[in-house]
Amino acid sequence: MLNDYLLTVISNIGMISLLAISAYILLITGEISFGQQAYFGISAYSGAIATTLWGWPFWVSLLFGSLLAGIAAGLVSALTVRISGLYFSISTLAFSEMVRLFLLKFSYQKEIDGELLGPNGAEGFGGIRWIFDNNISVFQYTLLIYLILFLVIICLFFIERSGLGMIFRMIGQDPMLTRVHGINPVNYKVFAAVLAGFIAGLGGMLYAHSFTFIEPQIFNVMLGVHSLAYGLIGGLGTVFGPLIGVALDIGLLESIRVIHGYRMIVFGGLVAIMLILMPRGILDEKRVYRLRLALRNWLHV
Amino acid sequence: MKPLLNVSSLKVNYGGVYAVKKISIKVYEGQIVSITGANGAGKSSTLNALTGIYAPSSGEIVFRGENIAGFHAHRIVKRRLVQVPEGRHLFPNLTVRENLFTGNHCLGRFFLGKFIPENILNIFPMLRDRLDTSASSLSGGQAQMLALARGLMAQPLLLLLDEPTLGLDPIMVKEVLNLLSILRKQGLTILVVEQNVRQTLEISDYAYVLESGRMVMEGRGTELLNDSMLVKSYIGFGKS
Amino acid sequence: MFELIKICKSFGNLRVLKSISIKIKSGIVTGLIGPNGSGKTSLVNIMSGIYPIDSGQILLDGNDISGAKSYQISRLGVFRTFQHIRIFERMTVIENIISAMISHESFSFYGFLAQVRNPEDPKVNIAQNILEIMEMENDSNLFAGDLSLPKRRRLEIARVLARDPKVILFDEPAGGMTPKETESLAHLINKNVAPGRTCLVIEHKMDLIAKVCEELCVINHGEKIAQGDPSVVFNQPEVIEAYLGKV
Repeated sequence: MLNDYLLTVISNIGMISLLAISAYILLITGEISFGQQAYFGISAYSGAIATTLWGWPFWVSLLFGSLLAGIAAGLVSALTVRISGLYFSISTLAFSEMVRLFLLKFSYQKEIDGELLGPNGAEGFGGIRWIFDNNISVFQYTLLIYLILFLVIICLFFIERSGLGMIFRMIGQDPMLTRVHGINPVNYKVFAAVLAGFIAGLGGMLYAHSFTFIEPQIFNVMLGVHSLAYGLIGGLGTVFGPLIGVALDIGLLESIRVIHGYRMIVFGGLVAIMLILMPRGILDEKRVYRLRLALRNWLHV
Repeated sequence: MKPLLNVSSLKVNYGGVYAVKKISIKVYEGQIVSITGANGAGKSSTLNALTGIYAPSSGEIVFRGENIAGFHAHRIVKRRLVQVPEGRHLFPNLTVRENLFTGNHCLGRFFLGKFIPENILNIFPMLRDRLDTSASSLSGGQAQMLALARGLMAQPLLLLLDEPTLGLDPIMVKEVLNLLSILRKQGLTILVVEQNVRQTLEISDYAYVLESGRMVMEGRGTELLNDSMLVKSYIGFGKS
Repeated sequence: MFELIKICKSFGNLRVLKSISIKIKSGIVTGLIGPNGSGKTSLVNIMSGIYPIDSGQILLDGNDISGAKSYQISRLGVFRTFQHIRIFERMTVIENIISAMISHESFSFYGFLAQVRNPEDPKVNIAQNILEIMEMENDSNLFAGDLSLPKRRRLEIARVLARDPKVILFDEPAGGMTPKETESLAHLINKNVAPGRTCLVIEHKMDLIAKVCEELCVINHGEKIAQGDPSVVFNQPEVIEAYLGKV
């Protein structure tokens, strides 16, 4: 049977995949965000507060945390939508650091069952006990994570095949030409940011309840850089691209103990090599297109 | 007489397909030699292989008795085989003067030269008044003049021009092609890729016509000009 | 009718358009020629709403559209091509054309979520027809970034046709083409693109201008110096001096 260590790795892949997908959505609209970890963190904190301190049901808290993350992403995006490229990246980095520094000072504690719980600045936020209180096994929680990931992928799969997905890619390739087509990119960019924030939020809330302890330091910029790199390695042609990236990094590099200590070195090298050999990742637009054609032919035969 | 540049059975593989399949070109000193052909015929690929921007897959490029095939671009330009690229590639944030100085960097001086030869300014009088304006403020014709002048700053023995009249109005086209004749009279050897077929053939000593990576015609400029049926079938003359 | 009235436009200290007025007649192809730097592309950028004007008025069929944004102008049926080709290079040829049709649909939510990658979608059929009109039906599955220059230029026009435009503004549609390629483009424009539409063509290649234009407008230094029948305009001394050069 699957042991707990393996299950933790698998559930980790699922949660980080949500973050990678959120970075991917912005990548296909042509923006590089170094700040998706902020929405991950916002939702982790707010969702955990909702279940632990306020006693809200899990699903309501999940929606609450993710919506909060989505709204925050929408607000930031509405402010920065007129800038793009490097300046956009810097502003997302600045915002995410603001969130992290705020969490370092943020203290909101309550006595629950004779125990002082809640976020307490740099000391973090422990005792997120929803899993234990409800007798949910690691296996069940992993299933839950993958159910949500599956729903997200289904949604994105249909979005990608729809006009909306095409508009995202149009904006990503040439915003000016998109304008000339009669589409105002501003609304779509904000919508993409909200969607990305929401999906990062789903991952963050699940993450907090999986690890039962979170601290601001988790949501530092390296998490965001990784989530970006997953899309770039796995490919920007389909939503499955970032999943490949996550599986490669966490599944292969982090879990094989021999190279665990050198993970960052190997991963950095891998990113560099990929950017040279396949600048848009393993599953880039052309390969996805060829695969789709092959699949279609195969199904017809 | 030995040719200044002797290209024999050159092949260039670009993105998995042969953009150039076995081409031979000879350029003698003091000539204007032109290469024409349809889009995708391999004209630019040929020039880029000559200056080392793409490495040729096979073939010899002998320049002044030395085979330079496969050399890197920065080594080739030091042998004073200088290319003026298609689309001009100026540095828009530098002034005209600074753009000119970037041209003679390849002459082996560590510091950029601070001297613009008087004869270059005499050939391009309009640049003299604009030396300290930014290159981005130049119109298309002026920018092309600057690109040409920058090429001359490297004191080329052979100047390669890739589509020097692209996007220029008829008067500027005439002026640029006229300049080429003037430069030739001053002793410069020029290899030019062009699409203004008729006007280019008029000033060329020798011309080559490419068609999907192969040489389909060659001959003296004036001969090809009269052989209109043949040229027309490949590229058409257009109205002059 | 597209009407420009006393348009002024400056970039910093540089006055690109100096109170220029042009009437573009409906249903015919008007050529716009002039030396490099005379303001032709700026004019098209203004007409397609990419640059705002400093002063003046733009009328489309009598309605004032000065100050309209580019996405608003395109909804009125005015489309353009670009001198430096703009296509979605990481999409296939047919996706490029479908991308133009999406925006054409009503802005309903369902419109956006309608499947576009489905080969049975009627849009695919329409797009294939447009490709046939532009004589590139065999290239529909190639990536736009892999096309040769003449095909890219045609794809730009095909994409514009997908919107069934009233007005098309061509910015150097034959730029970088050989005379033979230019000729076949001129033939295509005459046969399949221009009929029933108002077109404005910026071009330096006189073969194209002579073949497609029924009216010619010449500008220099941001001012109009001539407008009228091509054969008349070509013989005006100002035009010869400013643009064509003495033969």
